[in-house]
Amino acid sequence: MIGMFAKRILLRRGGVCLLAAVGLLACGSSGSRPVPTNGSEGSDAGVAADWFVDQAADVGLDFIHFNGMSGKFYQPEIAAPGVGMFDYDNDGDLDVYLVQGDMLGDGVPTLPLPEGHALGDRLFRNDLDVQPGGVRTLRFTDVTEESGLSGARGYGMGVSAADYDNDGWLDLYLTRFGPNQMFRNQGDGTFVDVSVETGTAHPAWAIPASFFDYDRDGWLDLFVGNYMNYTLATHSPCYFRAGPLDYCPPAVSPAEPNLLYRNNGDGTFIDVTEAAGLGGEFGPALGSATADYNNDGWLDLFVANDQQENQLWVNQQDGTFRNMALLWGTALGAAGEAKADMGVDAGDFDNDGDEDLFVTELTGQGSTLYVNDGMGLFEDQSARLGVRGPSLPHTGFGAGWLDFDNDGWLDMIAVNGFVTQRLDVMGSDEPFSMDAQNQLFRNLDGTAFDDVTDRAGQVFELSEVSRGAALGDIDNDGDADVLIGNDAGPVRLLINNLGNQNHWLGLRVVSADGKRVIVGSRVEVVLAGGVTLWRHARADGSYASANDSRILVGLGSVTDVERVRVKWPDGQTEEWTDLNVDQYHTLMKGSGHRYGS
Amino acid sequence: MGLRRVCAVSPSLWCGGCYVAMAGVLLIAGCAPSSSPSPTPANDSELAPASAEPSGPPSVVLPDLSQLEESVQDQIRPKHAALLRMLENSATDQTELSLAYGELGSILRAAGYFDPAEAAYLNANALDPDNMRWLYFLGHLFRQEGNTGTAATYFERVISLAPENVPALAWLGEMYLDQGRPVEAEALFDQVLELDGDSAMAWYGIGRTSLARGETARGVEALERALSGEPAASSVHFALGMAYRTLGNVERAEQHLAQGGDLSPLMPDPLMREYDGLLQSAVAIESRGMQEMRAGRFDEAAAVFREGLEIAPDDSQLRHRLGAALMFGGDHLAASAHFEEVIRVTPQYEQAHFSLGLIRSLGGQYDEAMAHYRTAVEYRPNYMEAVLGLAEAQFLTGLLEESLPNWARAVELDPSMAQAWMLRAVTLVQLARYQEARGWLERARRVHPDHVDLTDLLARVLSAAPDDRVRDVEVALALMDERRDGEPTVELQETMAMVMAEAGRFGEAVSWQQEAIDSAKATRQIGRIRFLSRNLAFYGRERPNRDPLEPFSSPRYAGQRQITP
Repeated sequence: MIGMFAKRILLRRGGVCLLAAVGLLACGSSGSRPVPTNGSEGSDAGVAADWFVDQAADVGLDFIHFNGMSGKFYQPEIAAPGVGMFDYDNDGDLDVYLVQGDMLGDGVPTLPLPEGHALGDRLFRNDLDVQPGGVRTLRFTDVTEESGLSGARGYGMGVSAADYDNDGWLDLYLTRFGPNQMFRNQGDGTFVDVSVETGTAHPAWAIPASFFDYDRDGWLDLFVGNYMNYTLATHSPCYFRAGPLDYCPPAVSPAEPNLLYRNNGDGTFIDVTEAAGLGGEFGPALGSATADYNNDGWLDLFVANDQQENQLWVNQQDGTFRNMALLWGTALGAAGEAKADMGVDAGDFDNDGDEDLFVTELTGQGSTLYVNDGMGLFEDQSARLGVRGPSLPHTGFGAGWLDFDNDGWLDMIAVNGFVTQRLDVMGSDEPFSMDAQNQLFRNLDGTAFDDVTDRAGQVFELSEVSRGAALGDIDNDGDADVLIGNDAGPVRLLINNLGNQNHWLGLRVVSADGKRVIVGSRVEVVLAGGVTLWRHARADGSYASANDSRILVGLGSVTDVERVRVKWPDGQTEEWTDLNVDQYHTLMKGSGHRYGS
Repeated sequence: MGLRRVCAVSPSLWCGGCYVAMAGVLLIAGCAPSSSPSPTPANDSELAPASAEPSGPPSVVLPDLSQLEESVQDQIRPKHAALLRMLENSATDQTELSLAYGELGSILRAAGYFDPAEAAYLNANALDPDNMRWLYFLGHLFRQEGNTGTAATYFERVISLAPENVPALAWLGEMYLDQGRPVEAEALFDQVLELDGDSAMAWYGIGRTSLARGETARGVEALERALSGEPAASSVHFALGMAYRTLGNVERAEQHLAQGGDLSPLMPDPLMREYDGLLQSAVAIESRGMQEMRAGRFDEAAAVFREGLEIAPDDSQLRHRLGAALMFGGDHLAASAHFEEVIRVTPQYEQAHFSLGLIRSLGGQYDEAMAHYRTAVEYRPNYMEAVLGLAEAQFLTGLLEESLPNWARAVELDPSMAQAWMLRAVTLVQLARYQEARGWLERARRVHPDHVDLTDLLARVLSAAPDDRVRDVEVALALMDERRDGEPTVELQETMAMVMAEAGRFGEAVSWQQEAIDSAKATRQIGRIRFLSRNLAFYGRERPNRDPLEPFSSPRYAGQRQITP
């Protein structure tokens, strides 16, 4: 049996021999090689059996994260990286942004980057090719240098993608252990660093960030979740109970206040944290998810904190927010304990028209499923729904709702990795012994979840230190794929082989000029027979990652969609009919039938 | 041993008539990291019972102990050696051998080694299968790993051997709850109640199983019984809060949620208590001491920390903890001595400087206090509590101007610290910088909209500031409309009077001011009567007040001001 470390070494060096050994892919590939997907000519018979297959190395996503560890157990070493899926060149397919770390302190790196890999975030352009017969060839090209994003240096944490200047091109906000960075997409394949001019280059250690139009003025505002007030200079070592060095718990350093920036509409932002009411309550933020949690038409904000109460900032519709987490049931776990909330995603898993919350936690705490009653009152039903038990042994980070089988019910993925060392494998041969397997939960018609990890594919047998996860249809075949960032490990691209065997509907809900997706829009999909599915356009959520802002709705065997209603963040609602299934549609604001007031 | 920060510790202090907040000092939960071990390749001697069959328990592989504290190695190695001797001695009694395996398993588990501990326990159980102890520890071993299924299996086996074992019944109930099996869980808690009808822990369990089954009213009843048995069990308050919310009783929900926490009803568990005290490392001992501190048992905490110092006499962190326990226990002299010793050995230990500053402040030795606070901040510039302490000491000694930037810095470091916002505002008023005070208070109220003291002080400034440009009686009246049904404190009544007087409603002003005087007498705030009476006279003569606060005078002021945190 190959040991954990040996497995990691093989995969880190870009070799896929291990995967070949289990009959998945041809050995010896490196660099950008087109890989057919989903039943197309040339696929291995073994691929069809696995719901998900990792194709990162084979499609040119050659990236290994460097965490800068040197035996000092600095806190940032265990916190990154996030990953992003976004269409930076507006060619209709999702490109990939990968966050990189940096050396911490002046020690010798314990896990140096292999030859051929460099520091600095990377942008990979998706050169997806779809033939008339449906054969898809997925291929990525590293365009970091020519894009101007080689200026994104320093110790990266997360990435958020949104069109903050309404020019139709997705921009990037990068959270850092150090000053954050905003890069404006110039629409010509290049980005320019506008951190200073936008006023968003705050130096605090930030991890999650969410763009959302909280004041309905048509401009995306920005929430930045800061983690802790920590520097290498103020670092003090922490220890296991039996003596060895280990990473510190979050309580050791004070939490850093979060930030809410209002978009001025002129390329600048203003810090409105205090004015908006967010100044007085905060914790060490690890996750953020915006959605309309109380169905009043205004976007709210959930902040997941590490071992402190979460905040549920309810939009007061006057430029301010009020934290209702405690009374509304999302501040704590079922036993009244402040859990180590990491990743978070909002989604309507029970198809009752409201946004529920899935949050990943620390080992022994169990992931949390807060079920919404439609008015914003939540209840932790993790145990009843079968989420708690299977998640207890794990420490989860990236989290997401995805209908991986397109049966119309949102499933869950949790990408896992510990935050403390495993005592019995610590040592020079296993210097970063915090790996774990990821998990996939299938939604059983909204009544329970089934841990289907062992059926999802051999990629789920991998044990890595997973952190960020971005969800999106990267090969545009109608099902949700998953991009995973591993701490001190290779990126993974899990291609979904199952979902598009059912029917689906893809939606881009965009502005009147067609240029940008309006994140925060809620979509009501009414199927023939009257079944209604609710989804919302979001790019935030998970952990430090940027999701595909398109909406993918699984339809099962249904082939007829009666209508789709879009409730825009400004309160207007429009309706569309005659939408064919199994394809993407762009719903432009103003082009539908006005509905309601 | 160098600095070891397992838990961040800093008391919060509001001196000079403010409340000294003990809560939060040294009370950070979840401090000591724990490991999640996994299978280990054999790299040391393997131990197997003489009677092991090929399909029997696994061999116990002693892991590499070299990274452990010496004191822990000194616990493990002798047990391992003793076990080896027993295995070599064919006359060894099976029960004794079982015990030897079990004790080795416990110390390995306490040290954080999962697989060897499991192997040892399995061997112990194989040799003495009627002794439920090792099965019980196996249950906890898997519970702590999050493996509720296997944990439940072991607890079930314990119960089959000992049907009236309350901890096993309760823990199995918890495992079933984790697995989403409330019906089975409830049956177990019912069994506990048959053995102990007053068990708050069992009532808490039934409360939660009822809630899980959607029987909210029944759940409330059970939870209320749990709470009556153990009022300090804050997690029961939380569960009740959620339950009342479900029932639509928001007021009661909020009352309970305000008292909510993660302290569950006590589970009498002698085996686990014995296990919890096993590990003799400085970190483990510190962790036990911190649990005593959190429970408010300062004498016990001090005893634990002393025990730790016997193992690690040069451990500055343990010594500082001991000082803190003594301080909170009231022995400031002894506490000081320990803090000074910490600084002597580790001059850069900023928390010890802070603690000395705190003790000096409490003793009225403000100059020394300030010196220590400054040193603490020099070593750690983001040390909010030290910055706050410095600001307070400056305030109390009349160094009002000097305190202003420190209040501001405290707020910058932690905007949630409402007291810092408040006291900077008070300082500005005392310095007669009314315009700044108004701006600061308006800003503070955006951050803390529900903080009544900030509201009251702003209303006072808006109604009683001598500067015409600052006063705005309409806004002051609106603020007091919000406060009309607030708790009738001297501050509120006095504020009401000021606002009414400024609004020209002198009759009401007199009435409110009289109420303030009566409240001051009733609460023995005799020192405030003169100022209150003076203002009453003003209102009687239909004159508004032009002193938002009683003039500041350091020693007297410290005893009189009570500011609600």
